[in-house]
Parts: sequence; structure tokens; C-alpha cells
Amino acid sequence: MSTKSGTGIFVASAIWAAAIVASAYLCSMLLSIPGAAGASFFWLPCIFMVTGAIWFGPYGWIAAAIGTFIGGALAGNPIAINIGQNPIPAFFANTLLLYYLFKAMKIDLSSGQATSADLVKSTVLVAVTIIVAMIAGYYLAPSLGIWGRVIAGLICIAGWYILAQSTKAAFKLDENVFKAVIAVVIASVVSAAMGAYVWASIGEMGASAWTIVFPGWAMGDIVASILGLGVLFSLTGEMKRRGLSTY
Amino acid sequence: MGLDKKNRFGMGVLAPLPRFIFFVVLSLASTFFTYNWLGVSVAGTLIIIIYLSGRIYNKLGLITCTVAGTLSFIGNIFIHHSGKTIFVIGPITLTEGGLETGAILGLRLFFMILFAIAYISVTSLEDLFDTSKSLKLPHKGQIYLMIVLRYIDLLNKEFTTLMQSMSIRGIKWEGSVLNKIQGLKLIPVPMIFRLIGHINQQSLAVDNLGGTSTLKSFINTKKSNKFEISKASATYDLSKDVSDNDLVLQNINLQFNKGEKIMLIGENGSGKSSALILSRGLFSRTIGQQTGTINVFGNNTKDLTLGELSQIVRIVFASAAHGLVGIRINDELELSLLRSKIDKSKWEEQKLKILKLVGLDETFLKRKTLSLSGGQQQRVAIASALIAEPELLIFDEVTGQLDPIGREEVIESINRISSDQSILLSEPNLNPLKFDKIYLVKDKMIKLIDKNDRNFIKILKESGRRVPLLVELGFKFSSNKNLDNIEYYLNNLKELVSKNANIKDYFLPKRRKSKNINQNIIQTENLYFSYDKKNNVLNNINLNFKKNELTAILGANGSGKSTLSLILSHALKPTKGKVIKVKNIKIGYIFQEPSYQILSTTVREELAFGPKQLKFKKDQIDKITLFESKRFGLELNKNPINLSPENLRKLTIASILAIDPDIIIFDEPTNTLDENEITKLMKIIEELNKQGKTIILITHDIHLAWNYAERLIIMKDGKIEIDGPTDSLMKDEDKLRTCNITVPNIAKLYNKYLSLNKLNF
Repeated sequence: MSTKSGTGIFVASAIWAAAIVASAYLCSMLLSIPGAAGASFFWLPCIFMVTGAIWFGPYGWIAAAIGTFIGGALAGNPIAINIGQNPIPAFFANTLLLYYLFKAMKIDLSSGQATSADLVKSTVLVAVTIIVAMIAGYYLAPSLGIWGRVIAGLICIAGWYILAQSTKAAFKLDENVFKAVIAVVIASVVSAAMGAYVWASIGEMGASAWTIVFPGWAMGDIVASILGLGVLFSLTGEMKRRGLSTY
Repeated sequence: MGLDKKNRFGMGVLAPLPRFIFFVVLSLASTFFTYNWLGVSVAGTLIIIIYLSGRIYNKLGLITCTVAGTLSFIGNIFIHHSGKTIFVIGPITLTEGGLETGAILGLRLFFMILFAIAYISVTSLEDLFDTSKSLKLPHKGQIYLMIVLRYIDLLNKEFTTLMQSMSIRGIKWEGSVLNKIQGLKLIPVPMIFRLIGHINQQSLAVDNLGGTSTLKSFINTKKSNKFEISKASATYDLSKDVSDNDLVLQNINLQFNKGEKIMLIGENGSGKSSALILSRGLFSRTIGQQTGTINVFGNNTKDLTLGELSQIVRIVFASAAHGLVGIRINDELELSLLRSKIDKSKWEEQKLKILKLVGLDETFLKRKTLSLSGGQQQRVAIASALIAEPELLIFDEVTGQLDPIGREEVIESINRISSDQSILLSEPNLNPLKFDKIYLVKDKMIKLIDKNDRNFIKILKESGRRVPLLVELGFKFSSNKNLDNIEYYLNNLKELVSKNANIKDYFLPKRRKSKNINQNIIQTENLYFSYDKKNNVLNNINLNFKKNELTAILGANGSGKSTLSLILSHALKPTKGKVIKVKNIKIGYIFQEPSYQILSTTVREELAFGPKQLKFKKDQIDKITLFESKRFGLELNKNPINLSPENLRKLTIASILAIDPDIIIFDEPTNTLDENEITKLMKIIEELNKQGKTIILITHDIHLAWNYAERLIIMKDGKIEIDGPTDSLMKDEDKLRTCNITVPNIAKLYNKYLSLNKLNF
């Protein structure tokens, strides 16, 4: 057998980068956090960053960096802030870190394929569950202390139970999905911290970036990344068959 | 390079690289030195002057920087506290120092975004690519960026076609925000599948141009005159355990000498395209696994890099839309030349020569590949292969999207290829008898066919080929089997008919005459359309279609046929004029490029998509899904991205028929189908027509139009040039030629027969 040219992964990551440009442009223009142009409440490129990072390896990480940079530039992000808030967190946190978390946690992605209807349904449900739990945690923790966090955790578990009952055909809520969600939460929080640091230092928000940019960014990345997980669990088999997944 | 006249102001006066450097330097300076009034004032004044002198005032950009600046101002005045307190409302405290800091930071963000917009307004995607070239990015990086930039453009097109496909199948975009959200939520998943679908095709295109490796040496092809595939098997399955069932080609052998012209024939799905990719030496490198050896004129393909291999062999794929790499035509040709033996000093001359050969001119060099029509893109793909002057050229059904004159020109240019170059092709529109060897691909094997075999015509027909009329007549009614001179038949028709009465069966039209075609079902009034608000693609179109009519629309590539169809099916809104249709009728449009139409991840979902939107009952949807899948032989659980091109075409047709439209517009429905499948499809279309459906066929296939359509509409430059009954229009050869249409031999013989009859034949 001859060796593969590797063009498939190269091309795939370039196409992914183009999709990241388009989605980063839209999110930067339409969903920016007030006072932090380009830092978004809902960062759609995470769908492509999560899948690209795991399937294409280093090419996927580069795709995330190039894509978010061009998308941010096209949306008029000032260049220094653009570099600080787009390619750097996209490369180091949303993709590279995520990849190594997946490897470290030995996450198995061979759950099989789902139909698009199931895929949308289950990913939306996971995302909604997490948002509700996070909001509950955010509001309840200051007044109820540890019990606020327990209630948030229970909301999460209950939401997932309902999800497991209603979407049997979609990706199953096993330990792999659970670990994958933990991985994207960690990667998104680190990414948000990097973004908040940029807005606190060379942006114009000062310390308040940590209370405004950080939670908005983390939430936006987590929700979109979970949508990406749906695609990842459903399509990794197909991508492997095509020789397009290095994971 | 790449700048419109309107962009040659402001920062646009600078070439892409200096413009980029200027932008980076000033932008960084304005980031770090604008934390006080002096910095903001100086930077702001400079940026406003630059922005205004650019003369492009992007409305959305202005809104963005105003909103961002205002939000920054509002946020910061309450965050920063210093100096005298102005007011305190609950947790909100406003101080004089906060107000000043907020104003500075708000203005700072406003100006920085405005400056970024001033740069972007005069910088096209092509400029970004030119910047990368000037920065001397490594070759791999340049190709990477080229694909990224080309796909940004393509995504825009994909997004548009997705919305069009949804709207044709019942998604309402007009009306409430809820309608728009309902539609938009369906977009991300099909978009990801579309992107995955493009990867293989684009990877093949990149590797065909030499991949990402740099060229190190020139390949000697004088070692041997022989091309040879020996004991090769191939599969698309990349898993380790492959069974015989997974093979698409099994133990094949193929040989020919330098300079010979070889044709592959075989039914759709028989493995012709796989055999051509294998011959190109790309199969195991790009898309699958193979065994056996391929030796191209003394060079084992395994021993060559992609760059070396592309000096001696090139392939042109059937779908040009996804088979090009260059962002502009010039980039595509230069990328091709880079891996050729042609000296750089001759590149410009070579580009102009080849463009002329495929019927394009030098103005095309600066145009984006994606701005061209399907047929024009195919010409560029052919030019990209020819320009490198490889020893072996491989063509995989490349004339399907070309108009008849374009097809003639391309066939002529293929015929003119030097006698030193070999051609290996699969092409339904060429006379197989003109080739040195014909190989039949069947049951995963390849077999040499004897042109003198008395079953030759039968073999051709069984392999799904349309046998050229004159070849068939030559075999049946002439001792000279190579006879393909129409003049001979026209001059001797009287004698031939008197000797063989059944010769008439070959040219008498068999098209069905529709009954009751007097009720108007849809009409257009003074229709105009423009994509860019400058150039009209459609000019004053006035047409009416009657119920139960079968009409063919023909015209040169880029004449506006598909645009007119999209307007008729309500997927596009006319710029001026209107479409009047009978109330409550459904119109179905089947896309020219099948992948643009697909919305779902299984065949079942795709077939059910339209009926679901139209609120059909569940059992009715199940029945329709089953019926259409059986009618077209489709597996319900397959993912459309894994379907062969012909099955994808069938799925697009089936999913439109599933909504039971009253008017069905088929845009090049026979592309990628072989003759046997075309016959089956046309039977279905005739059946639909019998049931009272109005059929509009957009086609370059003049035979198809002659055989099935009662009425022909011929478009040229966005206007209706000719409209009338098929029989009478086919008599005016000169007029048709001005619209890039040729009269088929079958019509010429029929016309001659009629004229002889008038003379009491």
C-alpha cells in the first residue's frame, strides 16, 4: 500500500477554517458582549473548533487560530485585541487543550451515527440543561452557599435523565459523553479566562472584564462546544472511514 | 491586483502588502497609545481621514463601531470611579472621572473598529491571498490559505442554496421572526455534512495539481513508451480488513502506448471514475487503498512524489465546481504551471493560448472561479490540465455541463492535443470509433473491446452509452462502419429510405403530444434580475407556460436559465417585474448541482423533508418515502454524502417529486446519468406529464430536447431569443448557432426527410 499524501486532513482543516471564519464573523457582528466587541455570548465557531481539534489534530488547531483571526478581522475587530481574543485562546484552549484533555481522559468516540433530528434534539437538550444549571448555580450560590451548587448539580442530573429517556437513538449519555462535557467546560473556562485577561489589559474594561466578559464568554463557548460534541460523537466513525480522523 | 475602480482610494491606493503592513502598524499604535485624550484625538483624526478618503461607506460597519463604542462608553462610565460624584442610583455610581474614562475608551474602540473596517472595505479575499504571496509564505501555507479563502466564498453560495432548497420545499422565510428561526435552525447540520462532502473532491483537486510538496526534479518519460496498470485492485474503504465485496476494481490490467487515445465505457457505478483516478496515481494517496502497480511511461507511480507525478499526468473531474483550487482563474493556472515542465518565462503566453483554446479570453484571468457558471468552470478545469502539457491527460465526463457549441469547442481542443500526448477518458459525447482502444469496465473488471465485433453497438448500448446516430446508421446501413459524415446521409437519404424503410425509425420524432394545453399555469411579466444590482442576468423576460406542457429551455452557459428557474420556483425574488401563477399550485425545482439541494443526513429524512413542511400526514409521508425510494432504487438509511453522483441526482429528483408539485423544473437532470438511466428517468417524466404535470427541462442535451420537448425556449444573454415548437425551430440552423445551439443530426435527417416528402418522395 502507498502512503497517504495527507491532503485529506490538510484540505478538511482548511475547509473547517473557512467555516470558522464565516461563523466567527457572524457571532462577532451580531452577538458581541457589550463593551467587548468580538467576545461573544454564543460562539458558534466552537462547533467547528471542537470537531476540527479532535479529528484533524494540529491542523485542526491551526484552522481554529486562522479561522477565528480572519473572522474577527472581517468583523472589524481591532487587530491587537483580535490576536489576543481569537487565535490565541482558540489555539491553546479551545483546541489544543481540549485535544489533550480528550486523550488524558481516554474518551471513546465510537458511539455511532445519529440522524440529524436526534442530533439536534439531544445537543440542544444538553445545552439547555447546562445553561439552566449554570444560571441556577450563579443565582443560588451566593444566597444558599454550597446548597445552591447542589441544586444546580441536581438540575443537571435530572435534565440528563430526561434527555437519556427521550433521545435513545442519539448519542447515549454514558461516561464518555460526561467526560467530554467536562473537557469542553474546562477548555471553555480557560479560553474565557484568556479572553477576559485581554479585555482587562489591552482592552478597555479593566478588572470588570472578569465579571462581564469572563462568564459570558465561558457560557457562550460551553453551549456551542456541546453542539460540537453532538456532531463529534455522531460522525467520528464516518470521518475515520474516510481517513479524516486522526483521533 | 484584484481591486475594483471603486476600491482604489483611501488605503486602496497601496498594494496589498504595504496596505497590510500600514494597517498592522497603525492599528497596534492606536491600541497602545490611545488611553488619553491626546492619543485618541490624533489617532481618531487620522483614522477618519483615511476612512473618508476610502469612499466606501459600509453601513453595517458603521453601525458595528457605533454600537460597540457606545456600549463601551456606557459600560465604562459606571465601572471607573474617580473625582466628583455626579449621581448614585442604587448600585450605579457615575463620577466625573468615570465619565471621562468612558468617553475615551468608547471613542478608542469606535476608532479602532473604524480603522479595521477602512482596511477591510478596500481589501478583497484575493488581496489577502496576494498579501500572503508577498509575505513569501511557504507553498503549503499559500495553498492552505487559498482553500480557506475560496471556501469562504463557497460557504456564502452554500448558505444561499440551502435557503433556496428549503424555500422550494416549503420553508417560509417571509413573515414572522419565528419563521426565520425555524428555517435557520435547520442550517448548521446540513452545512457540516456539505462540508464533509466536499473534502474528498477538493483533496483530489489539490493532489491533482501536485499536492502541497515542492517540486524538486523533472521526471524523465523517455525511459518507456508504455502506460501500464498491472493486477490492480482498489477500494474506498480505509479500514484494515477489506473483503472482495468492498472492492470497486478487482485485479485489473490496462495498457497503451504514448500518443494513443483510449476510451473507457461502462454503466454508471461500474468503476470508470475509480479506474481513471487509479490511472492518475491518486487512488491510494488520496481517497482509498489499492494493490498492484501503475507504471506511467517508465515511472512507477509509487516512486514519485505528487509534484513529480503531476508533471506527467493530469485529470479533469466531472464536477468542476468542487474540482478547482484557485481563488481566481489566474491562481488556478499558475498553480498548475508550477508543477509543469514549462519554463516560467513562457507562462503568460501559455495562459493566453490555453484560455483561447477552451473558448475563454484573458479577461477571465482576474475573475473568481466561483463567479463563473458551471460550464465556464468546467472550461477552466480543462484549461488547468491542458496548460501543464502532461504526457497523459485523463478526462472524466467533462462535457456534461457545457453548452453544445462549448462542447464542440472542447472536443475540438481535445482532438487537437498533440500526438505525443496520450488521452484516457470516459466521455459519453465522443464517438468511440475515433479512439485507438476502447475498454469496457464491468463487474469490477476491465476488458478490451474489439471495434470490429459485430455486437459492438449492443455492447455500447449495454454499457449505458448513447450511441451516436451516425455510428449506429453506419453499422446498420453502410458497409463503412467508420462513416460519420452527415452529408453522406443527407445526400443519399432518398436512396437509403427506399432500400431500408426502417431507417426512418432512427430519426422520426417519438415525442408525445400533450392534450389540453391551453390553460396558463404560470407566466412572467417584464422580469428582470441582477445578483449584484449592476449587471442584469435576466432582461425583460415575458413567458407563459401552459398546464401539461413539456418545454425545454436551452442556451449557452451563463445565459440565465437556472436563475429564471429559481425565480419561477420562488427561490429568488425578481429585481423587477412579476411572476403570476395559478393559486395554490406547487412548484418543484431540481438543482443542477445535486449537493446544493440536500438538507438531511439520511435518504429517508431527505425524501420526507418536503412532505413534512407541507404538513402531510405521517402515514402519507411513510408511503411517499417508500414509493420514491423504490422508484429510484435508493437505500433509505444511507447518508446522502455517501451516495454515488448518479444516486445523489436520483435523490434530488425523488425528494422533489415527493411534494407532488404541479410544475416540475428539471435543471440539467441527465448530468451524471448514463443513457439507460436517462431513458428510465425520461419515462418517469413522460408519465408525470401524462398525469397533467407541467414539465420544464433545462438542458444542454439537444437530443433530449428534440426527443421529448414540444416547445423550445432558447435564451441568450439573459433574454428570450427564440420560443416556439420544436419541429419548426430546428430548421433554422444559423439562428440556433448564434445562441450556441447546434441542430442535432437526428433533426437534420428528419428535416431532410420532410423536404423530400414535399417533393413527392
